[in-house]
Amino acid sequence: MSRVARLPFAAVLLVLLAALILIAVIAIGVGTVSIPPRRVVALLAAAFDAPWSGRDAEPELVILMVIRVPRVIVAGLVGAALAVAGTQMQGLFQNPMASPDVIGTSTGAALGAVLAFVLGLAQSHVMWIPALSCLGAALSLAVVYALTTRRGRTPVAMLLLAGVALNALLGSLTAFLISLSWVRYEVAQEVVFWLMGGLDDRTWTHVWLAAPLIAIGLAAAVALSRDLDLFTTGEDAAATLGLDVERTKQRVLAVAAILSGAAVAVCGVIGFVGLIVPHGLRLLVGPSHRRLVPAAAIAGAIFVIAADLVARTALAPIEIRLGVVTGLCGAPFFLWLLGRYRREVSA
Amino acid sequence: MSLALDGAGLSIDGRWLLRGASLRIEAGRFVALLGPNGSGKSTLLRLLAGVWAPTEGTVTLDGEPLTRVRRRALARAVALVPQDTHIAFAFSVREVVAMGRHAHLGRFERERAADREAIAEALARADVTGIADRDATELSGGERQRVLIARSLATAARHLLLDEPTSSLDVAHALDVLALCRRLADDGHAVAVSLHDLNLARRFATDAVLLREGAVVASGPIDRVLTPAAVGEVFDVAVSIATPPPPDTHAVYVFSKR
Repeated sequence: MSRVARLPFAAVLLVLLAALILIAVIAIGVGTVSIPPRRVVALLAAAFDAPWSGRDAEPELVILMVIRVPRVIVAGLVGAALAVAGTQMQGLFQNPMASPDVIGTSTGAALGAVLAFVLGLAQSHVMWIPALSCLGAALSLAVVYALTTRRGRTPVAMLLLAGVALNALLGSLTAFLISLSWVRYEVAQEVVFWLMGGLDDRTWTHVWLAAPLIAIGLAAAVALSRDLDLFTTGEDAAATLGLDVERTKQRVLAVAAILSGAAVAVCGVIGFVGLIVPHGLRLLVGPSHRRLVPAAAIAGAIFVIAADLVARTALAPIEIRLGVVTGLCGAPFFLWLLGRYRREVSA
Repeated sequence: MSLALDGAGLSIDGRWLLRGASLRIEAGRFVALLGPNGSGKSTLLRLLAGVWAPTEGTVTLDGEPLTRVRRRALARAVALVPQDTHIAFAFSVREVVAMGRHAHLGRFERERAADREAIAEALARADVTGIADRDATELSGGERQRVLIARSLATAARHLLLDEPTSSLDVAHALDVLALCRRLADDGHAVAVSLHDLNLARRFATDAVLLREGAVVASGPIDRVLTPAAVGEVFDVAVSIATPPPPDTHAVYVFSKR
């Protein structure tokens, strides 16, 4: 019989924020040209009035502001987005094994991006990949929702099954497109690389593209916190406590799709963040989404910034794909989780 | 203050789960809903709670059809504890009970003194103050029912509806839960509970509603409704009811299928 022991939430938030700043400064400093943390802070402080492009710009500042800072910001945004999308899915499905990928939106977004590569659009303008990714995410959500909704009700068990089917279908379509383009070696290579997820060559364009979508998604997730808590004792109980259950489902699905779609749009497919971060944080701050959502957002940012740091430094000058790193960290954690779960089930 | 069905029924995919049910749930009464599996007990409770809208007839709160009552106002007036509640995440007991304040709080509002008082009082009345910090996923069946009743009390609802609250409980815990229901009725709540155990119903309820095949067969004070003839008719069994010592207890003997 365990009492619920929770760390004070303010302390957890402070520690997470401090860790986020620390890992960001380190990640900005480390690379082919290494810049010590103190210098990073000084340069960042100077970046507001010094030019960071053109002839007069200090080379270190250019590296920082043109290459490293946008990359770290995109990593943080993507991490926060995936972690919070994961909390939304786990809260909706009442299952700590759920992740943003379960309803097929990530696969839809990936298919959109692959289409952009195969049609040659990706090479013509940098915005085509994110645009088609977002479209793919939105369409796949619409399909899943339309398939599973009858008389205004959307049973979550049906959502899950439709998600499995759609994931398989969209995955096959993606593979089909890759196999069609195999003769064009460089396109196929780009697609495969992109599908492994990565943050190479991310620019301020990607920051400005992802930031508004992810900000909206995070704010909406915070606003939905208390509503999502009510799902824990079942939908009928939630309804009699005053919740519009079906509308809440629509909102939660939309938030998760915006967040995971935006994440895939700017960095490809990276797995396990949306699974392990919410789960780990739930152990720390408890399942209440008012605490879980902000904590998971910060922890997700930390996780992806750190994973990207590993990806580009571990085997330098070769860059490991980001999705490979998160998978290598995430999969063992998932197996451990499975073991824990099995013990609970048999107990 | 009253919650009433008037000729209410529900049909799903052309099949009637309940037809033409009329019933009034009143303050100070503990109504036991009795009937075989599939007789419409859960459907009746869901119609009363406004979870489902009736296909025929009306359900009214103080004379106002539920379809016209605002969702949050309804939540503050009527509370339902569904059957076999599974709690998926490790919320504390207090956090579960605090969810009862959902319809009292704005989206970004924090609990105020009045909310905390309501939660504390609800914990105390359902006798779960001592386990307020426990992990709600690790409760025994009886504790879980009392916690969910506490949450219903925290909503400040005067109508409490419980769907087979004793179905997975041992005898002692079943007694606990039904004694609590009776106390709440005596304190002025309107309580409706679906039950399978006729003896427990006879022991704690003030009124009974007998259902069979989606229709209300009889309703009224339990001593008048729960007759051997009526019970035999509804459940299709042979029954006798005796009043053995100690006094004021009534035993329903079911001795064979008819």
